[in-house]
Amino acid sequence: MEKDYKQFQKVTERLTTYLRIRENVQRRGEDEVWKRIEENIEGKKRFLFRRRLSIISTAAAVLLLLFLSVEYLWLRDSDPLDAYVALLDEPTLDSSQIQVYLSPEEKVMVEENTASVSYSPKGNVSINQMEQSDTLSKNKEQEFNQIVVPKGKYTHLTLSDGSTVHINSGSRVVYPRVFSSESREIYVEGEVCLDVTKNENVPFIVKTASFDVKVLGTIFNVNAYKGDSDHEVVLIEGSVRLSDQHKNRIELRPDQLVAVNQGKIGEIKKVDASDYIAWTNGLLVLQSEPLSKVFKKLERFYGISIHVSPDAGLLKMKGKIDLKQSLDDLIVLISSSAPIRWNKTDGEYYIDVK
Amino acid sequence: MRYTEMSDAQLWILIIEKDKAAFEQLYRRYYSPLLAYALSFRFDDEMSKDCIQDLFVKLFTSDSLTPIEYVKAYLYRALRNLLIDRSNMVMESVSLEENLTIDFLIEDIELVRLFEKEDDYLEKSRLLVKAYAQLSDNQKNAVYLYYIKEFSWDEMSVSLDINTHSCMNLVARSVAKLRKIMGTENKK
Repeated sequence: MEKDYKQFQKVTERLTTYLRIRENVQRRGEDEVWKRIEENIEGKKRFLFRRRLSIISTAAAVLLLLFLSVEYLWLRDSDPLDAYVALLDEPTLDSSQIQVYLSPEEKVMVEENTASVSYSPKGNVSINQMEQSDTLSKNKEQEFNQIVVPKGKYTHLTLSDGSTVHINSGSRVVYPRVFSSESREIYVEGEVCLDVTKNENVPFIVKTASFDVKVLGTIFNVNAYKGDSDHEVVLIEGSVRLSDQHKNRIELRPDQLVAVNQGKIGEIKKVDASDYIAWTNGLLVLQSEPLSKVFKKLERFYGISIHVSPDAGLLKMKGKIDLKQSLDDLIVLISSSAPIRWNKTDGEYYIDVK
Repeated sequence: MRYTEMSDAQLWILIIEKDKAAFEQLYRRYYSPLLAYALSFRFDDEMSKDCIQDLFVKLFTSDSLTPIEYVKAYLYRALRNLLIDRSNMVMESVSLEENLTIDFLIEDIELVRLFEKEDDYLEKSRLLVKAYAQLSDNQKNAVYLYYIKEFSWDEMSVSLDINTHSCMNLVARSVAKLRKIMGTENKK
């Protein structure tokens, strides 16, 4: 017994000494990680106002998808914004860079993965804190700009009235450089989170292909991607009024979600709205969803093709995903808890059940 | 006073004031032990480095930091939480608990090198490592922080989020369990 105890002591002593020393020699990557931290801090400074935004209003902005279908155009022929959008070329959301159109011909490409675009009340625009020189501009209210955010990118937009828009991957937004004094209208396609400056005299209207949302100063999220059959509006704060193409109208209260299916307003559900705007903070919250849906969102966010087998697609998952990590890390993480296997060929991912 | 001479708490106050040099000093001081801690949870290099990066970026850009006494313990706890968050995904068909376990304390080859030519000790060390693997997550974390990271009781309390008395009990129970497991193993 005595011998045993002494041995136990000796062994633990040597082991712990060794481990303590070992703790301090893990320096590999120290400089590399420091560099990344520095870059991140610089980047964050640019988006400081985005964080302030999330403190004030963590609600997501509503994404308005604007699809202008021909018959819809006929109904709203007189609206200059509608007319402008109808004339625009179909943007290539697969192109790699964020594009800011200051006019149909004048386009600014942004190299980084995230951009911050800001309009002063007078309509002067700066991109990533660099002021863009003014082209000939007399009537800025009639001047429409467009931002195209391809897959895998993100943009933060501040409109001339101070309203802010988080623009998610694979989306585009069309808006006037300066809002008119009668109404504030923007077109959106994809997913956006809006924090609308309150102005009871000038309603803010988000237009999508299948419905309009009228806002009076609120925070809400709109998910209306082209190609998705289900669109959703979630309200965080304030109130919005939705109208669809069939003249149905509803008013949403905070923490309510309404689905719009095939252009028709569906049922209202009670939800925790903050889950739906977690993406503005780089988090994806999954509500017990099939992997097919999860990977579709990831595909869109990272801008990389992911092919999911039907069997794998049926597996359900819930939890929180940190979107700040690489897609590889994420899939490794998912595969550590789900019975899937995966491989990467030619830059595209293939997921299957084990 | 130069940054290298300042205590963690002093650096922390400067960091709250967004002093980048103080921030870098703290980072350099703790990168290595934090990486070792993260790696011991069986995450790979990239994931561990990413979490550390996250931790420090959040630190510097946060607007709500207040002066604290046990910076080291705070960093460990914050890192552990980040690692837990990253791995917290639940599959409906497969139920998963929080699976952050420090079960791979040391590789066998390291043990062989440590106890070269002392077969008796080598066997014991293997038993010890195996016994350690049988502790609960909390027990492992407590033993690891106390014996290997050499945390004080106050620091243990900050890191584990329980009072110092409970920390002492936890460590004592863990060690007792280790002895017990080793004792029964020995008799086999």
